[in-house]
This record gives sequence, C-alpha cells and structure tokens, in this order.
Amino acid sequence: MGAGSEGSASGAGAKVRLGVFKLASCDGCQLQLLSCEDELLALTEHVEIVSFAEATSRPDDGGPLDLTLVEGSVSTEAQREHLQEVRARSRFLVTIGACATAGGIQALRNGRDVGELLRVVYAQPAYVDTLAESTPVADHVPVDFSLRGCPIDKGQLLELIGALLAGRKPAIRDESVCMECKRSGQVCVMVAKGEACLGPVTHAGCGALCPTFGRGCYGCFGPKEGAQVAALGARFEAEGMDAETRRRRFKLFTGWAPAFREESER
Amino acid sequence: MSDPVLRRLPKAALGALIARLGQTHTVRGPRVRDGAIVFGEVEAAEDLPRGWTDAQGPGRYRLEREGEAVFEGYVVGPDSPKRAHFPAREVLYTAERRADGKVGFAPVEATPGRTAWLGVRACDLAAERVRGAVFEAGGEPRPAARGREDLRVAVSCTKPGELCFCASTGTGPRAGEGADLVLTEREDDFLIEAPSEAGKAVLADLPVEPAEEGAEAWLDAAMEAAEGAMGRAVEMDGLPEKLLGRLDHPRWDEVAERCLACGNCTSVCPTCFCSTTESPVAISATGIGTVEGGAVEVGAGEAAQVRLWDSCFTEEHAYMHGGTLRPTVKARYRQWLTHKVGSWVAQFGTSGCVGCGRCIAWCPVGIDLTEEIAALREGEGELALPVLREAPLEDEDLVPSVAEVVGVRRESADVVTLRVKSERLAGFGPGQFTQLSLPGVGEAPISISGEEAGAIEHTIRGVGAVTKALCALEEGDELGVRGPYGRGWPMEALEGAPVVVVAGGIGLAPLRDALRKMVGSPASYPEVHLVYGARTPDDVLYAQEMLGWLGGPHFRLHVTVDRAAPSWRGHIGVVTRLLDEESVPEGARAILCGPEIMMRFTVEALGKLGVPDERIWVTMERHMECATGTCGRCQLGPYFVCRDGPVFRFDQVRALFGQEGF
Amino acid sequence: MSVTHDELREATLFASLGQEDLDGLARIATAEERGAGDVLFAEGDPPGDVYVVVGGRVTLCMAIDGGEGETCFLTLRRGELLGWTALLRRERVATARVVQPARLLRFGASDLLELCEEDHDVGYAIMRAAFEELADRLQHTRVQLLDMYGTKG
Repeated sequence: MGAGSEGSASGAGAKVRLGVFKLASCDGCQLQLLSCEDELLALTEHVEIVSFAEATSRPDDGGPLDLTLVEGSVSTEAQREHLQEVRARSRFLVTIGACATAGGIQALRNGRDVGELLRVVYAQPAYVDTLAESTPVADHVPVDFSLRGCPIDKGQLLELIGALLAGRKPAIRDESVCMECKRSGQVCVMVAKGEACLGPVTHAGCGALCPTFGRGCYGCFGPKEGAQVAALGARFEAEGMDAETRRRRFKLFTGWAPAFREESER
Repeated sequence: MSDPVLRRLPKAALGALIARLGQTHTVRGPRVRDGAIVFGEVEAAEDLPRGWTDAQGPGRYRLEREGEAVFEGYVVGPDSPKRAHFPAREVLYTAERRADGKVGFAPVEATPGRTAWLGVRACDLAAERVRGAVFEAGGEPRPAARGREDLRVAVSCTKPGELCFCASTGTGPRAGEGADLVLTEREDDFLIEAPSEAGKAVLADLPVEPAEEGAEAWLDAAMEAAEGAMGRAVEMDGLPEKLLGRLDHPRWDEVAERCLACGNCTSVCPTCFCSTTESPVAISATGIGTVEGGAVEVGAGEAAQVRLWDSCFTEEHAYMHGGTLRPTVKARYRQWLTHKVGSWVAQFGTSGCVGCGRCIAWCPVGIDLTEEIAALREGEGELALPVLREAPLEDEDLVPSVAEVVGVRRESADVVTLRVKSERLAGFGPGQFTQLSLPGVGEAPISISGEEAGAIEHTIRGVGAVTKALCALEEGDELGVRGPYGRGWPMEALEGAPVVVVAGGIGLAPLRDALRKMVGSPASYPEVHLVYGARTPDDVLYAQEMLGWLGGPHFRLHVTVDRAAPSWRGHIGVVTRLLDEESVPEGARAILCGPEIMMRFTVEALGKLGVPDERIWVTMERHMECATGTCGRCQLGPYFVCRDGPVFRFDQVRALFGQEGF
Repeated sequence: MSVTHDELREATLFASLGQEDLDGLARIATAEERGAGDVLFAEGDPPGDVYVVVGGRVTLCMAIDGGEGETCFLTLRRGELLGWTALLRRERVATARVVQPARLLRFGASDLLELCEEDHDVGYAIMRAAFEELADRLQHTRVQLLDMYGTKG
C-alpha cells in the first residue's frame, strides 16, 4: 500500500489532551516519551501536551485531560494530594514504570524503620519529608492501565497511545518474558547457562532485554498474571541457590508487587 | 520414495556437500551460539559443531567438548526449522482505513526461503509433516510456500540423547520420509542416500562411492541399537481416550504446583502452532513487523495484521468477554498435554508429539512430559469423542476482502445490524459466521443473521473495542470480511419434525436465518416454536419481523424477559419456564443458541420433556481468531469451534459441556 | 364460584393429593375471575390470602429506589402458587397484578394452615410440594441474577 494515503486510522477529530506527571521517581520513564524521536512529530498532530515539565515550559491550563501518564510512587503526603488532583481531571490514567505501578526501588524501605533509614542516609534528616512506605499509584487512586518496567518500553508506550487514538485495546500482552525471548530466538540462559532468570514469572514488554545479553531477567516489569513465583523459587534452591539469595532476587525494582513480595518474605 | 542406494561420503567431502548445496540454496545447519546448538548459516564444514556434545536433562542443557563427531555428539537444540516456515512474528497483510471510511488490504506474500537444512533429524522432518497437516487443513498457504523449495539433508541418529523418545512416537531415529538426502555418521565417513530426485541431483555431483558390502546391515543394526538407546520412552497407545477421560486426575494438580505457565515448552516445540494476531497502526512510517528477516514498511497511519506465536499457557489464549476460560495453571497444562498427545489425533490424524524431548530440556523447572504421561496412564477413565474432521479448507490466506456497509439498523441500545455488500459471503448457510475487521482496530467473529436485497446482515453487540467500532460504522463505510466459516444449523435434519428454537439474548442473531427459512417453508418445517429469552423488553431483537412470522400458522412465538416494567404484558422469568408440552411437542428437535449456562438448563429441561441429546443442536462460543483451525485458540477438546462448530449436536459435546477449563 | 377437583389438581401444590383430601380443599377454596390490571395485593400489604393461578397470567413486581417505578421479575401461570408468604404471616413483599385475565383459586391462609395442621399427611404433602415449587423459583431467580444476556454473558 502506498505511503501517499490520506488521513489515518485514528480518523480526524479533536486532539487528545495529554498530561505527564511525576511523583517519587527518576524521570527515566518520562524520558522514554521524549526519546520517541521518529514518532514525536507525528504524535503532536494528534496530541496536545497540556502538562509535561520535562518537555514544555508552557503553563498547565488546569483543564481536563484525556490521557494522563503518571510516573513515580507515592512517597510523601504532598505527592498523595497531587495525585488526587491529577486523577480528578483525568479521563484515562496510566501509570508508567515500576515506581508508579509497583512502588519502585524505593519501596525497599517498606517494612523497615524509616526514621533509622533517614539517619543513616541523610546528613540532616530533619529536612526530609517522607511517608513510612513508598506505594504504587493504584493504592491511592483508580488506575485505568499500567505500563511496566524500569524504565518503560518505548514501543509499549507508543502502542498504548496508538491504541487510544485508534480506539482499540492496546496489544500489551500479559505473558511471560520467555514468550518474547523465544520469539526472538534467544537461547534460554537458565537452562543453557544456569543463570537465575525471573523471565518465567515476569511480565513481558522489554523484548527480553537481559536474556538477549546473556544474563537472567531481574523482573523489572514485575510479576505477570498468575506468576508461579514459589515454583520458580523452589527451582532456584534446587539448583543450589541459598534461601537468602533467592529472597533478594525477588526484592528489586518491583519487589513490593504482591507476588514478588510474598516470595521475598518466604 | 524411490529405492535409496547407500553410498559412502568421506568426512573430508563434507565441505564439497556444503558447497554444492550452497550453489542453489542458503545452507543452514547446526551452529554453536550462546551455549547451545541452533540453526545458523553454514558456509564451510568448519562452521559445524564438530567435537561438541550436549548433556541434556530436564530443565538442563550444557555443551561440552567431547569426541570428534560432526553430528553425532549432540541431538536437537532449542531451535527448529519451524521458525523459518512459521515465523515467530510475521505480517499477514497491511491495511489502511482512510478518513472517508474506505479501507484497503494488501497481502504480504510468503516467498520460498530456498534453504538447505543440513543436519535436521528424523523428528524435525516428522514435525514438518505434522505442521504441514495443520496448515493444510486450514488452507493456510504460507508455511508450505516458505518451505517448498527447501532441501532437507537429514541425519539419522545413531546416538539418541537422554531426552529422546522418537522410537516411542514412531518418528525416528532413522530419517527418510521428507528428506532429500540422509546422512548417517560413522567414525571415518558418512553413509549417504538420496530418497528424492532433488537429493539425487546433489548426490550426483558429490565424490561418493558405493558403500561397502554389509553397510545396509550395519545401518539396520545401528538404527535398532539407537531405538534401544533412547533416554526416554512413552506408551502412546490409547492416550487420546485416556487423557480425555481423566480430566480430574490428581496428577494435573500436582504438575500445576511446579509448572510456571511460562510457555517455554510450546515455544520450543516444533509442532506447536498456536498464534495470535495484533493490529498495530504505525504512528510514523516505520517497520512494523518482520517477514523472513526483512521489516515490512508501512506508511504513517497505516495498519498491519501481525501474527505471532502464542501459547496455551498464556491467559489471553482462552480469553472470552469477561475473562479467561482457563484461569488456572492446571487447566492450561491440561489443555496443552491433552491436545499435544491426545486430541491432536482427532484433529489431524496424527499425534502432535514427535518425541524430540525439547519441552523437557527447555522447561525452566524441568517438567518431563514422559513422566506426566506415565503418571496419567495410572488411573481410571477413558472417553472417546466422535471425529468431526472434514475436508481441508482451500486458499484461506486470512486476508479480508473489502465490503461496503449499505445499511445500518439499530436494534437496541447496544445492538446494531450492519447490512454488508460482499460477494465473498454469498452462499453462506444458516448459522455460519464471518470475520469482520477494521484496519488498526482488529477482527471479530460475527454470526451471519440473514440476507436481504443482496446484502448480508450481521447483528452485532458492541462490547469490545472491535465490536464497538463496527457498531459505529455508517452507510457508505467499508470494512473487511472473511468467510463464511463454520458448520451451521442442520437444516436437513430438522425437516419434517416439530422444531423448537431456543434463543437467549443476542443468541437470536445466529438463529434468525434458520428461522426465516423454516417460517418460509411450512411444507418442510410443519411446526416451529421459537422460545426466546431477553434481558428486558427493550432488548428483544427483531420484534417487528417476529410479529410478521406469526402470520404463518405453523409458527409459535414464546418470549420471556428477565425483568420488565409493569406495562409489559408478556412473560417474565428464565427461558426454561416456557418449555412445556405445548412448546416442546412430541418428537421435537431443538436448536439452541445463547449463553452456555442458559443452554445447560435448557438441555436439562428438554431432556425431561423427552428430547434426547441426539436431537438437540447447540452453538458453542470460544475465543476465535483465525476461524480456520490454524490459530489453535477455540479448541473444545478434539474440536475447533470455528471449523467443527460453532453448531454441534449436543451428544457430541455433552462430555465437555460445562467442563471447567475446556 | 365452586371449585372442582380438576381445578385443584391443576395446582402443583395439590398434585399428589387424593380424592378425599381434595374435598377438604374444595370446601375452603373459592374461585375468582380477575381482569387485566387488577391488583391482587400490593407490596407492604398485611398478610392476606393464598392463591393458585388456574389460568391467565399474573406478574410480580417490586418498587425499587423508594417507589419510583416498579420492576417486574416474574410472571406466574397455570398451576403456580401465589402469595405464599401469607402462610408465614408475613407482609406482602411484592405486588401481584393480573396481566392476562386470570382464574384463581383463593384460600384463607389460616384455613389452609388449619387443614395442614389437622391432617399432617396432607400438610406434609402440601408443604413438600410448596418446598419444591419455591426451590425451582429460587433456582430460576439465581439464573436471572446472573444477568446472563448482559455484556458479561
């Protein structure tokens, strides 16, 4: 089919009002949107950026949003309030990344003495305002969709936006990393090299990035649906891993996600 | 197969063989990559993994240096030629939908790969035949087209591996059928034979000499020894009936504790064919999918239909509106195994297992299907279901034709009837269905509800993204159609007897055409009762048309709703309350369409009124994508709902009806 | 209007009773013809009589959301029991309205209970039949609650 076609699958219509917000996070996921160099210009034909601190200095008009991307976990009271304001003006709210979706690496502090951690980490802890736990967005407001990963995958982000524009379900598959790994023809690092790999229980979307480079998946996309985490943990131990190492394997960027948390506490 | 004559090929002549193959083909053979032996391009004998051996066990594969053999040190790795003939991700067609509502579809043709497969084993050849049967039955031409000009230089295994059991499945170790050349490795040379004309042509150019006297006997003995040296064994006899009869065997729960439902087994299996499709739209001009290594380019705003490997272990595989039919790992593992070594036989006339052992080695937790099968054989219960396999479909390349919407009629708040002009759908039968599609949105199976003034009608309820988009179409818009598909209502078997039609909700749509035919032919259908249940009076479909049918003295209408305002004068209550001696006359035949639970109660009530299972037909619903039996998603035990159904005689499906996870 | 044995046998409730028992029932039953639109009893009414539908059609409706409009959830037909909560001396939980001219058998709740008390064999047969009929109705209500024709169908 020729490239000279007129119109687009999304049809004509008003632009989608987009807001991008951050809570406790490193900005890496927002930057994935900016790194969509080839598509960014095409996107702006369909999307009006209402609020995006990393991309525009234009002031937020405060109006309703069609699509809202939220990065980061809720780590302070101010973030909780900000999140509620954002939710109130959003039609479709999507969490982007491990922090917003599962609490992030900062959730490692959960269940520990925050006061003590503050004293150890900061010279002047008195200036640090923090909640006892770092929690995912969905613990505070309803979430319409989640993009996983640390950081999120650019392709999945574009797929989400494209699907929203076309009015279809995003083709973001809740399957294991193994499915992607095998589709791309990688040799299983767990079977062929004995690497401890979280791929079998981890949500796909990264394109099996780590196994492609010969190392085991560390689960930054978080657990897939029905993740059989205990069965994988049992296999790690059967292959000679000690219990403490096994627990730590599940306690990383998405360690606060219930399925991984359970295994890291078992 | 012409009579093969054994020759000798000196090991030093392996390079000559590769060079000769390379004159006409790309040679792909065993290569060491990332700790395993996979298929890769081979340009010289030195590329082959000479002196490597693979130590395989459940969930374990390690390459080690041992010996001097070129092929005999190892067996199969995670890769197989499946990937080349049935790519993990391929674009079936590109498509566009313009602002004026017009659509277009452009097929992406599969081109022959011209690959010479060096070192494929008997199990790989068998797997290609098994895959061939699947796609041939569905009329899908691409996989065969890709392999049509390939050469297969096979190796008979004299040293089977720890996980091999092709002797049990009858697919090895001796390579022959499907091969162009067959090598058997010996210490100093290869025995070589050419079962095909193409193989003979290659052989003629090689520095071979006749094999020594006794070579035949040596080969027979070596193969017999190999059969006895298999690391695994499975008793395959009677498995379809045994597995289907043991769906509640405790072993399923036990294996579900260990299984990760990750899909590794199905991905390495050389015969697993389940796939799914995606309908991405390019935001900017970009390569959207790969076909045989090259990206398919589409323009900005254009769409593509992409097919990718799926697995019965994923949640989405058995997804139906509202949730998956197989939420548990138990149900998913059971689906895989009962299909692979069970219902496959009814579907394609052969087992789906070729005894290669890949699923055992590459299962990250080392689940061994030979152990599982042995455990499941220990138990009670057998179930044989009738085989419904029919002639293969023809030319089903899965590419839609353009059709025009010539009318839209709103039936209720969320139900619309689309009138579509399409020559492709002419000649459909009552109860058949179509795949309707919109570029960039997706495809959905929709039943045909009749034909009027040359337009085919589809009554659609907008529940998902695709059906909502279809419901939003306007006169003059275009869409894609494929079909008609499936087995419809048994109009002949219904002739001469009273017919009770029981419909629930949108389930009236697939029955409408059958009803029209029966209402219009009182001589063939002397007494017709329609018993119809809807949610509310506003949800009653085709109300005007049904009132018109009442003019015929042989037609009786019984309508009930789940709830209504006081102004409703009709019945309120479940549909089964309307089934009595009056609406179900003696000797009646019944056809049913509605939610499965409604059909379950209806069949029960009909049974009490003396209608046996053999005189009841039901229409089943499962997740359908390809509609041709090649995507593997709509399986109901040995049946594909899309091809063997959607209409089934109830006695054929009773045993599976309401069975959790099926 | 007098009540015949044939009419009494129409009722699922009395289907298993013998000639003599039906005589007793005929003595306490009256037959009624009611026209479309007639309300037999209304939601919230005190317990009154018990009915059996012999012909026609009666709809049961309930006011939902503080009486703004009614939702009807069941029609009763030939042979079916109506107004059974009266036997439990409970107030009416639904409004019964005739939608197709109906012939009804009507029993004073205390008369029927008395008859059951006097002869426990008869009482047991009637209660058992009522139990079965209500069990079916409960089952049907559950299926209706599934909202199976809805989008999650």
